[in-house]
Amino acid sequence: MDTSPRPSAPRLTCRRALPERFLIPAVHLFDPQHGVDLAGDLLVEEGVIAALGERVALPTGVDVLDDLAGCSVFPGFVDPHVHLRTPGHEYKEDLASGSLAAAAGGYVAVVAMANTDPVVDCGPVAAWVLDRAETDAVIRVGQVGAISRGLKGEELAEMRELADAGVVAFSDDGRPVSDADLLLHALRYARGTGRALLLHLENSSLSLDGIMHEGRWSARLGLRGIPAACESGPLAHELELVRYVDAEGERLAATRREAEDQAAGGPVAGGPVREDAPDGDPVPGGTALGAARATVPLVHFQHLSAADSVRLVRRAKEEGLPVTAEATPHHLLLTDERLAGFDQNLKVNPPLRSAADRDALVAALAEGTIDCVATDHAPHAPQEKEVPIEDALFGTTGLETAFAALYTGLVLTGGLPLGRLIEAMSAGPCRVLGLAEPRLALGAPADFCVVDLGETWKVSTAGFRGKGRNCAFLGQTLTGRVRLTVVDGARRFARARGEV
Amino acid sequence: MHLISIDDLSVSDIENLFRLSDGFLEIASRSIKKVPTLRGRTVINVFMEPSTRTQSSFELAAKRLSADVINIKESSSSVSKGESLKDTIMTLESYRPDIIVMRHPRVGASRMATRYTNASVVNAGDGTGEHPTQCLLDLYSLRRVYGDLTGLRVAIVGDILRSRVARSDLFGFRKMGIEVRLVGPPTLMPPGIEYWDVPVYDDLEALADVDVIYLLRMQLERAKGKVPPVPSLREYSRVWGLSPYRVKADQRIMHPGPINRGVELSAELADDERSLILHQVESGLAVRMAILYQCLAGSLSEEPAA
Repeated sequence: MDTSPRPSAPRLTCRRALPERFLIPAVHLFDPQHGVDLAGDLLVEEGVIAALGERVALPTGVDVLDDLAGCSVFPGFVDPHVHLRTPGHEYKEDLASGSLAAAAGGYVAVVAMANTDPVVDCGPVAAWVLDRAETDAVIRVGQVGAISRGLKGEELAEMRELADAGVVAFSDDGRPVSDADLLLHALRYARGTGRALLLHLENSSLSLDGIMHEGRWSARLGLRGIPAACESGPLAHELELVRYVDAEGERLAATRREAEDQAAGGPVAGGPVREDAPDGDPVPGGTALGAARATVPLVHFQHLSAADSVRLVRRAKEEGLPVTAEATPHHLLLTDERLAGFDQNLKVNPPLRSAADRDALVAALAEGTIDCVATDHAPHAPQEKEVPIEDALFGTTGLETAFAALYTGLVLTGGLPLGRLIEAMSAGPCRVLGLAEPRLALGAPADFCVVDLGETWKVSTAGFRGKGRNCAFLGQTLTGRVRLTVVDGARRFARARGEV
Repeated sequence: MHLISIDDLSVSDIENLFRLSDGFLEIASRSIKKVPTLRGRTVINVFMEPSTRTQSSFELAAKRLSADVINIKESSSSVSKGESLKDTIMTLESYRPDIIVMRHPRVGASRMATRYTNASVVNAGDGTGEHPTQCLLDLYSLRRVYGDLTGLRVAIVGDILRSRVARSDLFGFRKMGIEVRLVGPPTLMPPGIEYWDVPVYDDLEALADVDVIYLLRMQLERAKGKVPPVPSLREYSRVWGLSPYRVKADQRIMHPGPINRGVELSAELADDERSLILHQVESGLAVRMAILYQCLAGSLSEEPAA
């Protein structure tokens, strides 16, 4: 019997490349999430990691990348939150430029938001983007589907069709889901899809016309503020809905288990198998990044900015609610005080907040309350930023600077273990989205990046591969340079030592 | 006796109605389909919502039992002039009817009507509340097809949230030993239904091992709140709509009507030999004769001629 179409696995697509055969000698192989921390060589063949950690006897016909000796190799970064502006706003960014920017930042996969024109709120648009990425993108692109039709926050988008088209998750990012009944409907309707809702937190009636964090510096500068409660308020409210729907989901699952037990003639010895039980560690050797895992959170909170939000998420996690959270490099590193220079690239939503908020985010990242780093890469055209700050659009780019900025600001000087940063940029986002994690393991798909942790460079527009010039870190001197990014065993981006 | 909720009836009450229905079904096969059982009795059909099946079924049932029948419809009654339900019922009560059959868009309207009349009130559908006579005719159809109801597996599929039929069927079917499961979009399940110990499934895979698939119409006219429970009828029919190839050879299809071809079921399936939809309508007439008879059984002298 044919049954209803099951939602298919998330689809992540990029340009196919012939598998290459190359050796990177004398590197530090570091994949803390999977217990890899060793020195040696790395051999890539036929799309997978063919040897690692030992001195590999040089096979014939292999490119030896001598100039990468001494660098570090990390599992490829994954960004759960970027704006690739396609379709509709290709003058800001397109799949080719955005994916190249990602590759230049060490990313092997990024997930594009749905606030495009047209909005990605139905299967055909999602499929178009993913098909297009198959020819245009150098690293894997995943797509979220809208929660509400047209991002209008009024009625559900066709989420089942979007899931069948391969979207990774659902999000109205750029706008909050303000209507509680709509969010409740979305939480319930998404149950059948195996996808998380990624929520942009914002009380729009409170943020209206706001430019920056409401506090000491908004008072001094005369800019209208956006209170921290603008984020923590909806967060508290949405956590209540998550708690309610999670409990309801448990009860519904119990009705099915009971029916199955009765059909099987009494409970199975050892108790029923929970259908939402985690599937454990992926098999060594790994699976393709697109392969779905069994569990995703009900809700993932995007770009946390406030200490009050961190406190609420921490408490929710202690309680066992199925929620996760992300923070951006700019919120983890920069504060509202910087707005005194009226740099339009620092105008972001949510706004850069106080030092206390920033410190709370960093602590939360370290302890795991914040699961992953997301750049919220938001490229804009110069004419959209080179206007008085009150008129400038919100957003900063982030893909090309994320690792170096965080390595410089949090690992080198902030005491964050490098291992935790790598986890938060690779395995962390995969767990949130239900994707298989990139890993440095024999036989695993070769999805990694090579970083020179010794190289210091200055962020300048000349070096950007993406179209956006609006980077919050422009002019800063950072340590740690991505030298190579490999997806499916093919080199997608390479940069010589000292190259801008 | 009133019949407001399926909970008003015991298993033996229902079995007794089946027995009576068997007799009335036989009458329908005669060339003269009328018996004098309710001669001199008055049945008033009060239909405050559009209806084809239920209204015609009750009217014909009463006529075949030789009762005097009048039909009150919202569009042609004083209700359209602003008359309240209480006043409508009290006015009709002045005629000393024996039975009032009532269809109303509001939950609980039939129960309310019992307060203002001495007649037996039969609920012919109250908003999203209950539709007990539909449940009884469904059970009777199942009994005619399958004989024994115990252990029969029925999946009710679709807009459970706004379906009075589902609400009566779920509880009535289980009372008779049928295993019921609910299948459909999570947003079309009544929140809290899991407290009633019924298994709830999101997808049509749950139909694999059932005997009967009971489909429901998407009741857009009963929308409450601002957010539609499913994104579109297109998505609904693509994921949850039934076509012949999704139904096994030995599975039967039921539907309370009216059907929306192309939404909850394909046109082909509606006309498929596995469909019991018209069988249900036929059962309905006999069951409603039995119900009208049973309402007045206490005051009648003899068993119906059968």
